[in-house]
Amino acid sequence: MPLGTQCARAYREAVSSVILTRGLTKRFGASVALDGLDLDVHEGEVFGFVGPNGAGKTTTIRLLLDLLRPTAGSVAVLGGDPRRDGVALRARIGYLPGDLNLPPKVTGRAFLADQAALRRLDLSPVIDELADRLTADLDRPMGELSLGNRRKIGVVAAFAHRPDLLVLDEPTGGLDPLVQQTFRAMVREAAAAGATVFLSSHVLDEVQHTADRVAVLRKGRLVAEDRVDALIARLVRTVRVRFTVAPPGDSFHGVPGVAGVASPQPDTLEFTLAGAAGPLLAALAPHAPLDLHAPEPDLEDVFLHLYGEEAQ
Amino acid sequence: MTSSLVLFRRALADRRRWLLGWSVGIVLLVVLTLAFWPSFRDKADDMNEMVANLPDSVKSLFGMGGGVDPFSPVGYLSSQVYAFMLPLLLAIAGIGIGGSLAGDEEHGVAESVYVLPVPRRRIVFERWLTMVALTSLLAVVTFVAVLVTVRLVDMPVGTMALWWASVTSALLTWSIAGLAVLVGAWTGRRGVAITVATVIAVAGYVITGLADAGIGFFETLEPVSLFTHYDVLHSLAQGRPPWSALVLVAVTLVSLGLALWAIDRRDLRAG
Repeated sequence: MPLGTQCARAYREAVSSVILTRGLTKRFGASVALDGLDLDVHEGEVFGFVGPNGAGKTTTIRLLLDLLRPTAGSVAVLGGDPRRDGVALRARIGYLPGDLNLPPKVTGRAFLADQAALRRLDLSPVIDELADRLTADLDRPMGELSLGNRRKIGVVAAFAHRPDLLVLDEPTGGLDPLVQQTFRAMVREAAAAGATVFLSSHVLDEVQHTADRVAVLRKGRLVAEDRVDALIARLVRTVRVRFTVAPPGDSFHGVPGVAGVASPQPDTLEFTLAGAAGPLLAALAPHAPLDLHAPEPDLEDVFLHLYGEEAQ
Repeated sequence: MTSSLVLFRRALADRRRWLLGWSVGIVLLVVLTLAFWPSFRDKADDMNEMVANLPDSVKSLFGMGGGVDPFSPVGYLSSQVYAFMLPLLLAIAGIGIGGSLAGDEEHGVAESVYVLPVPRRRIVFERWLTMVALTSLLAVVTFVAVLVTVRLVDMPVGTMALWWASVTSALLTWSIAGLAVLVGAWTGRRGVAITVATVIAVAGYVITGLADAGIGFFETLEPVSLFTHYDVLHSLAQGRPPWSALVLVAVTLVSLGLALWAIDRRDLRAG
């Protein structure tokens, strides 16, 4: 490919990508926390970043924020270099850490006022509005608050300046279900207003219902990256069909997508389906099925499936 | 909405009780120590005879060297307040604040500031400034406490001599506590920052004390000791600081510069 075309492509990637990493690697001594990560998060999308504890999610986030420096590879955030352009970039980023440590003797109000002052912004009306919405207590020293109430203050700090990029690490941990709902609404509103959301979580349900695309990380490496629905479509699912009289399981061998057939009860067949369901449905039709049950696969299954593949 | 010195002002506000506690402690120590001066003055001959029998190294280590009568006003102030007790207290206070830069990082509290649109250097500078401001306030408290008490016990020492003695103490404290800021910025470890600054201070005190007593090995090390440049006896006796105090200023500024450089060159620690 001619050099000019390569440059043009790199430029297009850089301008449309809010987060762009290539071969991003971070080692701590002998241990590899992140191993050649390629990520591309587009403007305005909610991007789920999923993986078990220790997979490298927080390390990635700390690299995006210039709290850590890469061992190898490159990282660009909002088109800039987190180290060189750090101050300007961080003005456009809202961050909620997974392990939120707030000064214990300071009230939430004073803490948020300091944060706003350091951003050179007058945010007191927004802070009050967000605190009301999340029912956050801003007038007690933060060391006296429960984990959930401290996290509410963290959420206010991340959202108050209406950032272009929200980086949220395990955001709903410790929040009660009602506040979690409010939080998800806030994420959707921010995305609707044009913000990009980078949502890291090991709570898959959280990502599944909020994110447009998901990357799955394991042991510092990207295992999968796709749209949530596409990732689910890749899943091997179970379809359970009940008949008046079950046909022999052998008659479904060779149907595209059917990876296996079992007969748990005399009137029931259980199909292992990999891929589209159409051919199986067509093959079932002549046997007049009474009932068909195909539980919607969730990301947990995708997760285990992908990890299973990797383990094999 | 102003962002000027927000971190400095917050750090000061968080230490209001700290400042009150240290001020009360220093005032009590100064008053109690100087209250005994009239009794020592009246028995100066006996006391001098007793001190004369002590080894030179012991006299030096307790601030009674330098050929000055330890029970004269200047000698008593130097040996009982400025040579040992005050530097010790100010160094503990200053190293504590200097070490808190790394302490906040270790506890994860600093992360909420490092992710803001604020250069890392500014965070270090404002904590350094907190250390300078608070130890300076303690030095001023010392000055006022000593000034009032010497007048009460009828001790003939000039106001400017006391002022410069307190200023020299503050300069020594900045140079020691500045090392805690530097090591904290370099390593992100509070324990290492406090240990290094403490060891350098204690080693300096011993080196200068034993060098003053004429012990050869320590005389060769004398120039590298911060206490060598803390000639408080000069400030008290001459009513102006010694030129060597500029070395303390230089050490303070160089360590600040290195701290600002070091913080930008490493990974920050997770809480």
